[in-house]
Amino acid sequence: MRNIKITEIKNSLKVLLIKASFELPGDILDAVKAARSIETSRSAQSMLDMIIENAGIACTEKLPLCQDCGTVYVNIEMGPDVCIVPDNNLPGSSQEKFPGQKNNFIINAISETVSEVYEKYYLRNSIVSDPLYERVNTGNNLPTIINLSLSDKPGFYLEVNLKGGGSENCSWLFMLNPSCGEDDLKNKVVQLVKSNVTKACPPVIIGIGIGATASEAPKLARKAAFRNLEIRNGHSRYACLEKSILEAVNSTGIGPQGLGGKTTALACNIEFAPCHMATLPLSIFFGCHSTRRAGERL
Amino acid sequence: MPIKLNTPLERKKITGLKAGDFVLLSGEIIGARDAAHRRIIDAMNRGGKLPVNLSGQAVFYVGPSPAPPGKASGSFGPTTSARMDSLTEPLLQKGLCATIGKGARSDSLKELLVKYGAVYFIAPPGVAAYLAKKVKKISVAAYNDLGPEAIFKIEVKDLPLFVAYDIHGGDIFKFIRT
Repeated sequence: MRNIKITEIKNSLKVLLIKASFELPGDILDAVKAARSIETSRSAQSMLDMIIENAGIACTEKLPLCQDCGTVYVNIEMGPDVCIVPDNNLPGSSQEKFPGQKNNFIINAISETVSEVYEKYYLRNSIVSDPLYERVNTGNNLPTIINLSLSDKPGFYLEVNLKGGGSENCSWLFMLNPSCGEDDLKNKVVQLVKSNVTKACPPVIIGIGIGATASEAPKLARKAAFRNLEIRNGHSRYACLEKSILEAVNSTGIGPQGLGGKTTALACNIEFAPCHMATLPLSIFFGCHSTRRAGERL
Repeated sequence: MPIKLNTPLERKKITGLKAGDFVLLSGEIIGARDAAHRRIIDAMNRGGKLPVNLSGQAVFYVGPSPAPPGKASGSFGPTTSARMDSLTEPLLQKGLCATIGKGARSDSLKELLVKYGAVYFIAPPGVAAYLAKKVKKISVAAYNDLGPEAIFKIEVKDLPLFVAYDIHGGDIFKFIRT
């Protein structure tokens, strides 16, 4: 059994938050450059050039890639060989430090780190405390969405996803009829893209979750949206569906910034799971062209 | 060739703009988004004085990231305009000439722009470090307690914009109407 100290997690999380905020992932930058090479319209070329230039400025000048520095997702995958230990052997002794976040030594360590990095690196705090009534900014970008999963892979995988609100608003859950075929499903996605995509900073990354349940399908879709763009679904039929949806979306001609062009989406990623015999959940989660992520195995 | 515009905007110049025109905007503009709009409208409904003069002005829908020391601005880019559709008419009544944001808006908003002779520009979205270079100065003008949702005074130089909806009903987003 390997002990991983809270300090190690905090140090790693800090590095990942900084990396995600200021460095556009290499696979996304490559996809933007590939799109730039096939675009013929001036406005599309110019938008894609600006994305490339923006990535350079953000990285060298430490200005966040987007003014919307996002909701922070922290995904933890724990292998069978690790044990998380507090620095002072006193779990549970901490006060309730962060309202709205459960009090636990791992969660507190994550919250402390997010709060510290958002302040120190001039990142925008975008979270409001009460969704419906007060809507007061929490002032530290907390709470963070934390996902903990168990794995057979040895080690401890820590990942940060930063998600902007604009593209978030364009996401959707459809509960389709189980007899619905591939064409109907594809049509739903293309229709949603047509009605919503100009608000989601195109060219977008389309994350799709198919199956599971009404509550779990959006998680699959989010996972898909944050998957490396060079990785196709391991199942050949779903890999073909990814390709076919991407082609259909890009044939709409909506293009970068919605001003016409060949690249409305940089990628379509699908994750799927078994579901109840009465259901066929379809969740679509848009990532903008600045979908920010960073991960590390400790 | 880009069209160079300065604020305050002249009605004559706005009338000549057509959807699809590429514009470089300079001068002082106002930054305001969801919460600031609601507060401005509350102030109007109570008959109070507005914290900023909207006449001839352009409102950029923005919540900038904080400016790091030594920099004129933090990252600066448009948020989704459609969220402000139902909050725009009271501002147009006060003489607002232009709104700046990202994405398509409702048909009813488009009709309001024709009615009041105002234009809707789109700014390149998600390239906020790049756009920060176009900002010469930024400060909070009102509602400081709203944090990134406060009203800002922003001095811009050659901010790159497209005319998305002109005052004659022209619409740049023709591809999504199919």
